[in-house]
Amino acid sequence: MVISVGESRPVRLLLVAAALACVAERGVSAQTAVTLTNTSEATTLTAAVAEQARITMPAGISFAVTNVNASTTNGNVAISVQNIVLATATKQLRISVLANASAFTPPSAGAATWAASDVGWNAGPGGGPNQWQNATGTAGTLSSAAYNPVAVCNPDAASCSIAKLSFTLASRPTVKRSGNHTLTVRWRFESIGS
Amino acid sequence: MRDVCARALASAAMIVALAIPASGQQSVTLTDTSQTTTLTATVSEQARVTVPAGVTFSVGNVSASTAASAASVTVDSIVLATATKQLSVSLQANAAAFTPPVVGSTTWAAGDVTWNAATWTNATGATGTLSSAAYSTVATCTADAADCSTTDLIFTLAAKSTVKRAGSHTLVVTWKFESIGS
Repeated sequence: MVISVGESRPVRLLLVAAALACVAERGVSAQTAVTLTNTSEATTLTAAVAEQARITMPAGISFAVTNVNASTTNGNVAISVQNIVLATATKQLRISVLANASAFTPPSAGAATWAASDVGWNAGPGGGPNQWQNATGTAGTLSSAAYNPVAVCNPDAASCSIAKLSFTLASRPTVKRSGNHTLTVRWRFESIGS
Repeated sequence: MRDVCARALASAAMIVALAIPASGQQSVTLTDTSQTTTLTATVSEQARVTVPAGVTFSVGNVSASTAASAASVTVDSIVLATATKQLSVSLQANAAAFTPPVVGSTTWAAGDVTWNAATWTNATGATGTLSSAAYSTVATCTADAADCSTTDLIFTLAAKSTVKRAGSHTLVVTWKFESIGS
């Protein structure tokens, strides 16, 4: 079987790690003389399971600003967390978000633009796709100084999600330049509780 | 043992290949902060405008021109793509002539309406004559201005001595606000 694994660093590292594990296992095997038939030797297999989840996040969230004097909302932000694996049935997975910068980057250097704190989100209070499933949402305001919570998944939930979370960009009458104003945000997924 | 290791290496390679995210799905170990999203505010060229709902010519003598009261036009929250683009204000008649109060009676042509080069704040006014064929410039706002306005735009209706019917002769005009330059 020919398997193409590419030249990426993670692939090479994993292959090296697997090879080392094989070598190591041969090197430290205990040598014991036994008579046959023998069933006295035992080996413990351990699956060391990290706290983990499979997540689906939007690559981008767009605000179509046609009036800088009014706020602009994107109500179609989908967030999904599946295969949640935590240490206990009472721990919870928390989703929070942080801005990578204190302000958007305007299309022209030096032009007025929005601050990170002009972005807010709701708690997903509606019904249907506007409501969190297996989680409690928290309305919040974006910050570049600290992660602010977006939602906390229910204890022992295997998944949590929302199909139409609303993000809102505040009005900013001082904006004079059209075009794309961009800001990258970073999501944090962590287990909380005990 | 050699076969076992070969299979283990092959399996590891396959696991790595499968772990490459598709459609934004990714398995992560907690706590994870590797995921990012780009927020993009796509801002259209825009402005907030205020124009008169109506301009009235009180015609007491059809043989003389009649000036309307000074009209105000305000443009603010001007958002353009560059600092050198400008906002142009222009005007076009929706019809070639006024609509007289009595069908078929004589009335003014759109071309009988003119305006002055008003004094504008943050803009340069231009004299003009109304046309139903093309927009005619009223003013051009200064580059990079956040607003521009006037309170003394005066429309004048020319003399039309052939008009015989009293009452309201009406004509709707359409304003155009556009960015010009680059």
